[in-house]
Amino acid sequence: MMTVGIWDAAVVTAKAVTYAATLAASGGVFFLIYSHALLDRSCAGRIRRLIRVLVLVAVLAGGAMILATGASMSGDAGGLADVGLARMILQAGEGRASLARLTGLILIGAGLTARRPPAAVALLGSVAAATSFAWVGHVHSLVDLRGAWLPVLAIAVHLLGVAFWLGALIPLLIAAGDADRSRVAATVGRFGTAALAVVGVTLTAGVVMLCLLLRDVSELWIDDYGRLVLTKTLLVSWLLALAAFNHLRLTPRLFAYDEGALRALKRSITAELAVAGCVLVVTAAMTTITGPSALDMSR
Amino acid sequence: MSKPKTLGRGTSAEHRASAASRASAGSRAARASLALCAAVLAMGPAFGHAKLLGSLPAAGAEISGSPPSLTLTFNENVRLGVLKLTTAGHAVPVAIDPSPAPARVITIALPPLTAGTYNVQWSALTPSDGHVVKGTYTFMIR
Repeated sequence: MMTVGIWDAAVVTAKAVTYAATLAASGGVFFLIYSHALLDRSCAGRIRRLIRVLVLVAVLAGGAMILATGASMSGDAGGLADVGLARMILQAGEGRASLARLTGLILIGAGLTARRPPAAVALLGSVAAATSFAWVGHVHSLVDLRGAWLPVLAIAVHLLGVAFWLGALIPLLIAAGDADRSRVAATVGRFGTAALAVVGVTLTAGVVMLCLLLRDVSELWIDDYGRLVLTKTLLVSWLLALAAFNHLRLTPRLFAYDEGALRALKRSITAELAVAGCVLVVTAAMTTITGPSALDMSR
Repeated sequence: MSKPKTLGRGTSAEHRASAASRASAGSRAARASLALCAAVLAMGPAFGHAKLLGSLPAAGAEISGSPPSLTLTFNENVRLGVLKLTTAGHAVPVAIDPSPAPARVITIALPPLTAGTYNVQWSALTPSDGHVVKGTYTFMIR
């Protein structure tokens, strides 16, 4: 039996950063598309620059994740430079996922032209980048095992919803710095209205995946994968509570030009970012150091 | 219809208080993330969904004479990426196929081994989803 070592922690960290940067870049493009008319030029420019930085971070973190996986397999730093291991990792699914993600990120960069809403090519890139994680991992294994496309459809919808939700948080913080409070209220209000439907679909897709990956509800407390799922569920519930507070309590106060509501909104979005970071770390651990019972051939 | 009014940017004191509040929230978030990472990584040994069902020589076995080969049996097809054999801190050269086909049972030829305790470190990938499965065990030759 083995224990989780420094290189395994490095894989989880690199994967969490890859998730965060890719989904935030994709969601940033979605945000620019549906909010562009409400944003002033300076805000839109800052969000574009943010997305470009996120694209770069996503590319670098994705590469680091592959190298760290080699080191994790080897058990020492020598695995970082082991070309044979890197080739094996790429051939085992990570290659097609990385290719889809890289293509999507390049399209995002190419489609973010100055002073205009993102082009269709950026939207296409966002969809490709956000859904790239569906090309590898536990849910993809279900397709190989059962030949059904429901799992991949569920995870693709889930990823797009997560990108929409989490990818809007930093742009919302940027937009909240606008001096024109009516524009801030309109931007937050538009996101909140769209998020109601998106979050519902995202959670439904997540529940469908869990039904496919877990064999029994008791696994939520008797095995490691289930306990991580339970932890993620609790964190997502916390996120939902913060989002509901923003939408139901703070947004109406923003429309009433309550300065205190804006400060509270910034604090609440910062807290949402922190909880979202935890959700991504738990997800990276779920997809790296544990596995679901539905894929265990010996049970 | 009244035009929405535009409020000012607020006083610098308000901005400082707001920035400090956000910095504090960020700091709490960073601490929470670190604590969560530590908790997740302290979970223990489970890795991926493939499992080593058995090995020859078996984990903890005491055998007499050098085994001609080492066999790992898994619950699903895997590709063996790493196999390191050490004894008394010294590596024993073992050749594995650099691009192996996925298999549930993997056999690796061993060089002649002398008496001693041997540590086996192995690592494999599930070809369907790229998940890593790995472990270590020891056996002894009398």
